[in-house]
Amino acid sequence: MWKKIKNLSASRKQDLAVCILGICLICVSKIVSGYMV
Amino acid sequence: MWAGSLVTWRLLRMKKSRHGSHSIRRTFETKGNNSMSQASRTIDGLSAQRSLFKAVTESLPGLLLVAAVAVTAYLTAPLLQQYDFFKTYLSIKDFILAILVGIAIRNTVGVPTMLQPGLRYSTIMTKTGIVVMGAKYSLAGLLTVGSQALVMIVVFLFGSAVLLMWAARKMNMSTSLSACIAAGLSVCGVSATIAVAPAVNAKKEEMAYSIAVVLMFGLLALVVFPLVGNVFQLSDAQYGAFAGVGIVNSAQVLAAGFGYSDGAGIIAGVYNIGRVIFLPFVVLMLVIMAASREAESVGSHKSVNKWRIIVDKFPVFVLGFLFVVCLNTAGVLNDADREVAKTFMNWAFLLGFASIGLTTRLSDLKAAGFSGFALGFCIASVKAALALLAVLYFF
Repeated sequence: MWKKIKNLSASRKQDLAVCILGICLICVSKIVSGYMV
Repeated sequence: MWAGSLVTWRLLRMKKSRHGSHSIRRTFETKGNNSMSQASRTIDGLSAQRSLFKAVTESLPGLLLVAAVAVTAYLTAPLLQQYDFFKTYLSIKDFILAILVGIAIRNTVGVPTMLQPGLRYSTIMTKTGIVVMGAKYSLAGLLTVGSQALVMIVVFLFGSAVLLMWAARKMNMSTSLSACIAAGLSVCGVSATIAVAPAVNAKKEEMAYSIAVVLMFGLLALVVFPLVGNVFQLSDAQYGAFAGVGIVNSAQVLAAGFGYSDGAGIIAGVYNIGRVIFLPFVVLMLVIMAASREAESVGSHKSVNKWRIIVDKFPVFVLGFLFVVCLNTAGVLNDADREVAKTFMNWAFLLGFASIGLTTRLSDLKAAGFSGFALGFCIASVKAALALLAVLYFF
């Protein structure tokens, strides 16, 4: 799996990182809003 | 945002570090010694960590400048709205202001070389904002707006690409340049130009040229589109469709949309995603058109691997956006979650737009010459005017 990711093109890696980061931010939103309530 | 920059940096850097320590690893492995290959992996890890540290320290000053511009725009935009002129004629919100302040800095005092590495994350920030924006849609809502958007996108996207290729041929422009401009002005500006350039063997100058045309038109649109929206009193749905079709650069579409209203920004976002999804198909069409034009002039036949182009050019981050939409549709996110996600989205966009402004050089206008600019601006203006007519009559 990791080897496959390493062989991806730079733009694909960037898109993948963007997806991970975006989903992480959604998780953080869930945690932060939980603390705010 | 920092975490994101680090993750992306690590992914991008991995390839370089792999090549850098490849010879050391190969030397160890030929001896068939497992401990040696473990040592080589350790060297890999160490060199990657060292490069990561270097990249972070290199990018930090530039990222601080981006953050400073974004915060300035965020704090200044509400102050401008206190003046009658801005309130009545020129409603400039923080997104548009971030781009304009960035451009002003870049083209007046300039950006020192030591700050340049921190300015390369604009695409990452904007795309991250788009993924988080998925929290604002449900699948049903996306399908409702999307089905309407689909017709507009298909007509305008493929129509403008074909029209541009035809006009460029009449003007005797090179095949590669016309394909780059056609991709840039029909799909999504910079990404489309970069995607189509290698497939049509475009030169670096031709890529820069078409990117400049797209960005300059979008820049003008940032100021003109909200004015047009106010003059015609367009609803959020109408304005969102107008901006989503008329402007091509993702960041500028979103800035113009959210600059009008939140609702318009959301609709413009759907159009933007729709256009981005069509990227591989437009690239394929342009490559086939360019190849057949070349074949006509040279007299040879060049085969095109259609499936390869569609797979290679598919924008993967759209899947992240759809995943978040699915989470929202499944009820995983409540109102409070969406509100916090909106704050993250706004700051991701704000930082991305500030970064785009700081990397936009108005001197590219001169470098690009006149004929391509005239053609690009004419087609883009006609497309925007037709989009306005379409939203006025069909929405």
